[in-house]
Amino acid sequence: MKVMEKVLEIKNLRTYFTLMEGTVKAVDGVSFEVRKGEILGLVGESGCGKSVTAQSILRILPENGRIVSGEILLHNENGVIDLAKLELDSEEMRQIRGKEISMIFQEPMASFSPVYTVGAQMMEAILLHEDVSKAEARRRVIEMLKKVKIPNAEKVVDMYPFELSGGMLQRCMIAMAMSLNPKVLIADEPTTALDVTIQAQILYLMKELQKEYRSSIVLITHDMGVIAQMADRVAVMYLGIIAESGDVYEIFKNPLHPYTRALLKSIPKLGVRKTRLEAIKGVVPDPYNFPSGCRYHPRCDHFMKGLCDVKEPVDVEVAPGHTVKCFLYGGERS
Amino acid sequence: MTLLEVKNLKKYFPITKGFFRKVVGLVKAVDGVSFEIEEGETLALVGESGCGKTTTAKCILRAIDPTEGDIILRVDGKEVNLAKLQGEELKPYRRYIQMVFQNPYTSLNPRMKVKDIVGEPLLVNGIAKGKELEDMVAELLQAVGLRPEYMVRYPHAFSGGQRQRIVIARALALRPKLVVCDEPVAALDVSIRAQILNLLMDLQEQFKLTYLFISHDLSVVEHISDRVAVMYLGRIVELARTEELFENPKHPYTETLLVAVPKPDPDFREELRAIEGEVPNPANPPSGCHFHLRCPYAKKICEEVYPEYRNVGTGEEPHYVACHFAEQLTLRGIKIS
Repeated sequence: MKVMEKVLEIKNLRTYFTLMEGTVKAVDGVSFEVRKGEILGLVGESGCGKSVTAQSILRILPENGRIVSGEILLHNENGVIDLAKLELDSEEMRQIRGKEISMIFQEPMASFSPVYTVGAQMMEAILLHEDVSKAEARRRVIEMLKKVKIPNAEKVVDMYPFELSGGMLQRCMIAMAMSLNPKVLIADEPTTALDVTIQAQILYLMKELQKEYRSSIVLITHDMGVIAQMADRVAVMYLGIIAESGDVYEIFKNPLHPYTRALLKSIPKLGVRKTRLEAIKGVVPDPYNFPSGCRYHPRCDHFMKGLCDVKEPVDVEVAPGHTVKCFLYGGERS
Repeated sequence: MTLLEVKNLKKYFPITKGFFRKVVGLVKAVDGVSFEIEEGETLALVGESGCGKTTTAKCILRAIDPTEGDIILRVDGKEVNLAKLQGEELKPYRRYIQMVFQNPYTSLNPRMKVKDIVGEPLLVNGIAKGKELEDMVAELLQAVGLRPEYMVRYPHAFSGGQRQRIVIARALALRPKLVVCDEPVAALDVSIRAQILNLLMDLQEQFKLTYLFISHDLSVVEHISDRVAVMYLGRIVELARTEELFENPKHPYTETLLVAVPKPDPDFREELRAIEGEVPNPANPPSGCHFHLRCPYAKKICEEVYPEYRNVGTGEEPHYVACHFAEQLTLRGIKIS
């Protein structure tokens, strides 16, 4: 495997939420790296901590959430910056948001302000980060809108969000996120709210732009299909940890963690018919109170009593770049 | 035996303007839809948002009044046209058709206990009360895989998958003939979807149910349905047996949908390609074939004439499609194993 330049490195990140009912360990020891020009897929069910990971990176967590420990290292021309150490509202952090790392969200309709035109909101990002005139910013917005294949870009720039369809707005959001040529683009369920044909268009567009700009994308989704189509590498999350990570072919052709295996088996596939689906038993556990030992053990088919419910497995590298947290492959602290 | 026959169903919504709410246009949400559902089968209705799937279902349930058309229900040797009945007249037939909604977080009253939610249809219809009612609720909860003790809890105590089980138990309380499932797994987590789909299939066998299954997810539809109807802008564009439709699609829109589904296999990458255009505004649909603006095979005639909805299949294998070139085109399907 060729070594690629790292752009973003997350080391042992823990993000907890303090609520009246207790502490939710939404992200509980997550480590991964994003390399230059790759698409990293972060996949998992709701509540597994994928979105909180993204919010931690950009330091846009809700007020009751905080980074307890860990490092978020951004590699750029001036060396390495640990985002976890920066003040939330510091000038440095503001320079990074939108310019070095930008984000697109799930609900395009809810992510734009309804009272400003799409163009004004896109221009704001450019004007905040670069010393250009308004006319120049507008020209660049129109150029970006054309890049994301919006017909009549000159007209759309002065339209309000309600005048555009969900697919068109998601294109605008991508244009806005890419307009400052960020190193890392975090896409949090970018197509979940869209219809299949529009989803295919947006995914295709993201891939094209990524090739052109050579930026890295962290693609967060629960859809194994989207991951298989888009990602170079995949990290499978379960209850705040990464259960398994590796190259996309490794994950789909040779899944090792029982959760990954079960997840892949449980989804209905086109072309395979009317057999019973192999459902994962049980439910996603209560977030205030994770199971002891391996978090997946109450739902696991390979549960080993006295081991899985007692000890927490550590990462085992089964093949270069393919790591899994499971006692079946070692996973005991040596 | 045919359980339900829908003939030329139409539902138009007026677009009003100004203080006097003058009607300035019509959204033809459902525009001449016809199909039959056989007893014990699952018919899927697929299409993108705004194509009229849910409106069709609501007309069948008579939650809304259809503008035109017939909805003929055959139960207990009787034949009734639900589209022609009003108010009180409908009451005796409502119990035969029940619905499972998409979002289990909004379709259960948070102030009612599970036993009241599931028991309400039985109480309203005067079927049971008191201890007898509780026994029936317990039985229903067991049928959907929930512990009867849970009946004293409120919906907030349950996860999404469990809530959907409660919704299903409520729908089954009156032993309906037809259950309309409107995107029953779309709001659920991936690992829970399989459980609910399996449950629906088990219950179909156990209670001899007929399903009208509405979904935008073709992989789910392929899994659960016997026949599939594809809708586009208020009309059915293709209807056939599931294998036939997937392996041998005749309408370019069906092909587009099949291509657009992201396959959970990194080997099938090159398939992700640009698909033209978006679903047009239903208040102002394109002339001719509604799909011609996005169709890679469109010719002159497609802009002018809406293609006839006709059977292009063989005797035993009917295959309905509305495309001028259904006989000529060879479209890419998906081989089913």
